[in-house]
Amino acid sequence: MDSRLRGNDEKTNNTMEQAQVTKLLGNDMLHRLERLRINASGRFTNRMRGEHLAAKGGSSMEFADYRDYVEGDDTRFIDWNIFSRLRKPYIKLFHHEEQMQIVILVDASSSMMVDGKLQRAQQLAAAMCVCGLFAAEPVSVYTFNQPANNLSMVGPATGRGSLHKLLKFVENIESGEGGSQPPDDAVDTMLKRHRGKGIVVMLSDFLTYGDLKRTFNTLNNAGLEIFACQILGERELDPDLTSDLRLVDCENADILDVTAQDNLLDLYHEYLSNFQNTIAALARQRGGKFLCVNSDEDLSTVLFDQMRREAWLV
Amino acid sequence: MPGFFAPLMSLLALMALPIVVFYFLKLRRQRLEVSSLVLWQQVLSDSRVNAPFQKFKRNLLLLLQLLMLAMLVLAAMQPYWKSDAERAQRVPILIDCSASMAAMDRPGGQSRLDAAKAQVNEIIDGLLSDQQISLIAFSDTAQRLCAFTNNKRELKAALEQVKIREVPGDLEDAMRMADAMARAEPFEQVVLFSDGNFPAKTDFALPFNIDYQQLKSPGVNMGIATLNAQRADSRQWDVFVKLVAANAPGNATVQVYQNDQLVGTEDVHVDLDGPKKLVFRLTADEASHVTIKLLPDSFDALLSDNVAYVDLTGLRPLAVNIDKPMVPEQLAIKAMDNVMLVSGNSPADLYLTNEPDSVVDNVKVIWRNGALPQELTQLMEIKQDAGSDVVSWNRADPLLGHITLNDIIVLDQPTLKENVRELDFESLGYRILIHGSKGPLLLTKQYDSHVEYILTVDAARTTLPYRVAFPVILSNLVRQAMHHAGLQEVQAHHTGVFPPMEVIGEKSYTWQYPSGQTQRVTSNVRGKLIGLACPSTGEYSLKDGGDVVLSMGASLLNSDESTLQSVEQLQFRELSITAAAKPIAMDRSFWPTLLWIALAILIFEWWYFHRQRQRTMQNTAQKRSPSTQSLSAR
Repeated sequence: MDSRLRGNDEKTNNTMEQAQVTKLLGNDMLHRLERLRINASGRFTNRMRGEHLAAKGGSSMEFADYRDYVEGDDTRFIDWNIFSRLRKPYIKLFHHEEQMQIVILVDASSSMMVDGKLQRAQQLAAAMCVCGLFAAEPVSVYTFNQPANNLSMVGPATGRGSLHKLLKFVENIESGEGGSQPPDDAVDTMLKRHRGKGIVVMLSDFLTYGDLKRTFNTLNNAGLEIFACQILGERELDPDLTSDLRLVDCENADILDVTAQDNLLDLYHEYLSNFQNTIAALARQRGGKFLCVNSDEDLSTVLFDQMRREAWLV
Repeated sequence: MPGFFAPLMSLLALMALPIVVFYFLKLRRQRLEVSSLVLWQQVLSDSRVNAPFQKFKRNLLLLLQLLMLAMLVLAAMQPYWKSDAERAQRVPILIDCSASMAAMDRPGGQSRLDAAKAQVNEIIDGLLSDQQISLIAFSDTAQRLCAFTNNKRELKAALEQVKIREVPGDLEDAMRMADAMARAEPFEQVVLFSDGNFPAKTDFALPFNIDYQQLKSPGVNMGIATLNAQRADSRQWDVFVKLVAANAPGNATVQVYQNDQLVGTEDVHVDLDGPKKLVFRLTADEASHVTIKLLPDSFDALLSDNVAYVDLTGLRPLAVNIDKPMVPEQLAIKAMDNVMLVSGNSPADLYLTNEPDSVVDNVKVIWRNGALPQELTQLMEIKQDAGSDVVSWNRADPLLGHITLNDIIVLDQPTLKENVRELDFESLGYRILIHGSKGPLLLTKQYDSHVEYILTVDAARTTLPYRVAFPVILSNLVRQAMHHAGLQEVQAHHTGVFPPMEVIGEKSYTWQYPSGQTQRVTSNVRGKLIGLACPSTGEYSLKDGGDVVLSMGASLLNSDESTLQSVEQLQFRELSITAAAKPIAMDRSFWPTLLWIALAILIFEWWYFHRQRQRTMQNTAQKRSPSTQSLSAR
């Protein structure tokens, strides 16, 4: 784990070690996360009532708007005060609060073991669980690594009482030895088990040879709004090419010889930027969001600054 | 067209194999585990990475090493540019160091000797290992500075020794020295660096070719070409000065110093048409030292001819000692001017005697009347009353000028002994001036200190005293005596070698040059100092301890040198040599250039290697700094 994360943890351990809910997040972070909600567009919700406001009108207690009365409308919803003043009937509209499934998909393949990416994914998954549970949404967590069909999952869980169970599951996520399951296989497997619309938070480095377009289409067709969070380490965001290197793929042990050149790093950054733009475009084209997180970045900065500015959390 | 002196050294190029092998063996890459190779594979398959120039840059260090090896191998092969000229392995170089080679082309410019040395220096620098050079400096004589060698240090040290000798140039001695060298170590060509200021004709049969590199024409010059003095009267000398100009006319001031006192000044204009002649009349009761200085108004290419020296003797009557029986001679000489008769054994400049062996002190000329020295009695005898005629006489001799001896009657007959020829007289040092019918009537012999004239018959037994020729001969005799005593005319001494000087016999003296340099010299048993060198103009002195025994000046006084004449065609006995139109073409090696290029490549490789590392480290540091800042902010 990164030294800054460890420093944060050590600080928490020193002050309130006994009362710490999870080792992934400090209690102060938990308190701040309890007041935040995942900012979904609301297009994908279950018909079941919930606490998530649907885009369409409903019958909750929260006022939404007025509209002209048309024949056949339920007269119980006529605002008689308005009618007495304007002598014209108006129907009061209320928000419809529906249930939104929150699916958290954590990439636990071998590639996530590098540079503390998996730890950062666990922390973000825990934060999403807290936000989801405190918004009374059903939250389920999936992890994928090797073998492909052996998908670990928990949930859907609802209510604050499930927080401990979800956090425990997230804490125990481990990377499979040599695991190299691509995200598209994992999504296919996940959708075989999952039911209901909502959002899917994908926590992965997305460094895959698989077809992300197909993956995102599958998720979109399944009624899940895509929240793609790419977690990259310092070595991937800014590789250090001080000399000639032999790069070894930690998943399949493939090797690639790289010779230090002046413009090679510039090319790498160009390709990385194009790759991220491609993922962001795929997500946006399907009404989703994309965010790239540095695994070395401070967690509170990621949660309360980066994610709020990117409108992931409100 | 390039050639290689050591082509077998090209085998060193095989060292490229281990360099390439070691380069790739040494390229042990550091292993770095990464999450995925997805991006890296896309980057490395980009056309920009695989552009030919990028491939070149990727192995730039190896290419630089191979290029440096190529330069070193080429340098080891000792390449050279072949000249148009035939390749010569042994070349003597003759360098003219006569006075005119000191002439400069402009104020503060380069002398012609410096220009010649610069060209020779270039030849030495380009000398290949199988080529040898010998340096010979010549002026009036030639001096070999070094034997044939290719040792550049030795050659350059020898070249440094070449100094100007302020004497006229003469090519013949240098040619003879080169000829002698050619017999020991044959060569086909001689390189001659000269301004061409020497006699156009050289009596020498060339056994080799000459590459005559004529140096460019210098600037304007004025100089003193002649300086001498003639007796004007009993107390005064007329000093004659002749000035010449080269390349352009000019104005100058002539100053005359007598014993360091300025006694005369004259402003002159010297044309190119002919020399400017000046006469200064100086009183000289005692011996005096006269210095003539020429001060040109503008730039003067040659300085050594701007000063000249002449030593005037103190004027006095000629001392003549005549034996008493010689009455006609006494009467004739007594009537002459500037003559003082002495008697007995008194010292005299001119001694007329009837004795075969008698001598007086300080005598310059001896006239022996009817007295044969002992050595001549072995060659001839005098037959009394046999009679003889004057057959011929040497009209060119100063003693017999302006006379005729046809009608002279001689009572006695000088007769050669059996098997005696004229050559036998010459072998004893005698020269016959008047030939009789059976033998010589008048002979002369030059001794170290004096000249003897021997009239083999008694003048009283001839009709000579009654002829006009008699007082004329005596007048010529007196003039000869005055000349040898320095009372008639004085010539300035030329640079080179001083005439023999009379000093105390077998004694060491100090000979001091104008530069202050000294040399120990020893007189011979006859009290003569012979061969005192005066290679430059100036005042020389002969010292005995701290006392100055003699002091005299040496002057260039050569019209050819002062006019900076230049001979473009050298005429030898059988052929003529024309000055080369272009500089000498020698094979020029350029392996030092290749070594410099190899060094430059090495430095560039070192700089490139460290620059690459430094840039990468700087990039890394810059990338890490924002994280550090965010940490500190927290």
